[in-house]
Amino acid sequence: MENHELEAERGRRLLEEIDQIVLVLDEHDRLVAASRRAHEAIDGLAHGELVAAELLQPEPWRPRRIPIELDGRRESLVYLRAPGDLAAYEELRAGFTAAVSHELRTPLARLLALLETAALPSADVQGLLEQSKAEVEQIRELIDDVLFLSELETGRAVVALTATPAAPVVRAVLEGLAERASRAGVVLSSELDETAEVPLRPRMLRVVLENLAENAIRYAGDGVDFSVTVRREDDDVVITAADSGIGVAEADLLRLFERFYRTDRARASRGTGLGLAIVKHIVTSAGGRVQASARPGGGLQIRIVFSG
Amino acid sequence: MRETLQEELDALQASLLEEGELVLRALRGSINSLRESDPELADEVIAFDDEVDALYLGLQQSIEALLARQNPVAGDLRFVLAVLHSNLHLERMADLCVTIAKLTKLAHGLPPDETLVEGFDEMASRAEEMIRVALDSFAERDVEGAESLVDLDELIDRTNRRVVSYILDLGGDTEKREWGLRMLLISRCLERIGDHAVDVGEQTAYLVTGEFREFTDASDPERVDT
Repeated sequence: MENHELEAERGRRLLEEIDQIVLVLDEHDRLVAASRRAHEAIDGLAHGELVAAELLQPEPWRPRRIPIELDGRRESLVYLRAPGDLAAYEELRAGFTAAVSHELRTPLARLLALLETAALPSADVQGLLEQSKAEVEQIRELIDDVLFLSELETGRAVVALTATPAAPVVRAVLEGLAERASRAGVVLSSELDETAEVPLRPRMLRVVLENLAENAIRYAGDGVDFSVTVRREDDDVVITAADSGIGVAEADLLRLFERFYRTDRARASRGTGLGLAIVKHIVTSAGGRVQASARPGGGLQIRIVFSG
Repeated sequence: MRETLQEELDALQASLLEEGELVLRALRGSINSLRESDPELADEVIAFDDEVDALYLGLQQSIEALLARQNPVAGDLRFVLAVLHSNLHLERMADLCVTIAKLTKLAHGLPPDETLVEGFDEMASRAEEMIRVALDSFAERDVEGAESLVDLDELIDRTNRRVVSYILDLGGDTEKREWGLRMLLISRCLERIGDHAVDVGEQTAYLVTGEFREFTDASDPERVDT
């Protein structure tokens, strides 16, 4: 092949294979070339014909036009964005970014205030430093949770390998949180079927249980019980985490698993607002189901089911 | 009730694809254990191999039974043989993941080189993509898709060669050298996983065309990599 033919062929191929919706139009907006993705996304693209005017409107395709001049001809390269899925995803992502920034701002503002106070002549520097450390700790927790959630969402984190006996993990998690629970006035208990196994890596089961227990310790209130039961129901393995706290309003139950969703009561307390979103992601990635309901007799109950 | 031949063939394919999913998990697990210096995860990957082996053996036995009872011919026979071969390639891939996990454990505590670890992460992503392409094109009898594995494999091979020269430059520190030696083998494992994906692609081409041919000629004297 001659060199310039090769160049031309390469140009054509590059345009065709590019993983975006791209059109090349002449000065009258007639189609010169289009990527494969463009042909997939847009019906009725034909070479030499005018492209639908709708495609060049700001919404919903959001065209970005780059003028190119070739040998005296004025053409343009137009990038389009498929309406629908991508837009919804972008919106979600933008919303998520905004929420993370907002969540980071609060502890940062508190941290700044603490440091400014510490600079005052009669400040209790030691005490303020302690409080500052707590704020930094909260920022770190939030960042860790955000990173972890993104690892889950991109499928980089491995949620399930071999099956894990649930009982020892539950016991270890509750023991690890015993001191914090007693400080918060929460009584921990468990009722475990020793033979039950769940299709989660031990670490992931740990994360799930820690998040559920920590929520109870943070939000359920002084003097409540928190219990974890693991049992088999026919071929299913069911993990139930229930507290006897003030519970959650019916309207909030469905939204509990959304990122950064907090009930009014939880808003006052610390926590990243991502715990239950992480729980849901882990459980569903491993093929399980998770549901929040009001506990009979008051309180909140989270039920996780893995079908055998 | 006697199953129809078609139902049995469909079940073979479903098992093969499921095995592929397990291999993908083992690969991601082994690389995460390296990336996060997590020997616990490495142990889980090693234990997980039993599940891949069980699936492999089950598939092998189903094929044996099917050949004995159904006497498949022509395209059906080719399909069964292609599953038989691909089954072995997937099982080998899982074994390579176990090797990566074991090497990760051996390297634990030695000083890692972040650049190289990042490189492995990328290499593993390519290998994952290759496994997906290999399985998808098998399931869809897509020869073109299967042939595209050769180009993807070239990318992994190239990275593997770069890794070798990078490791040679790591310097004379004993611990670094020991770490580098382990990583050299991990790189090789990832490269071999890519080769097995190409082999599955060759089975797809055989299944569709009825003719077995190697996509690349390993005995070509111009090729220095093995």
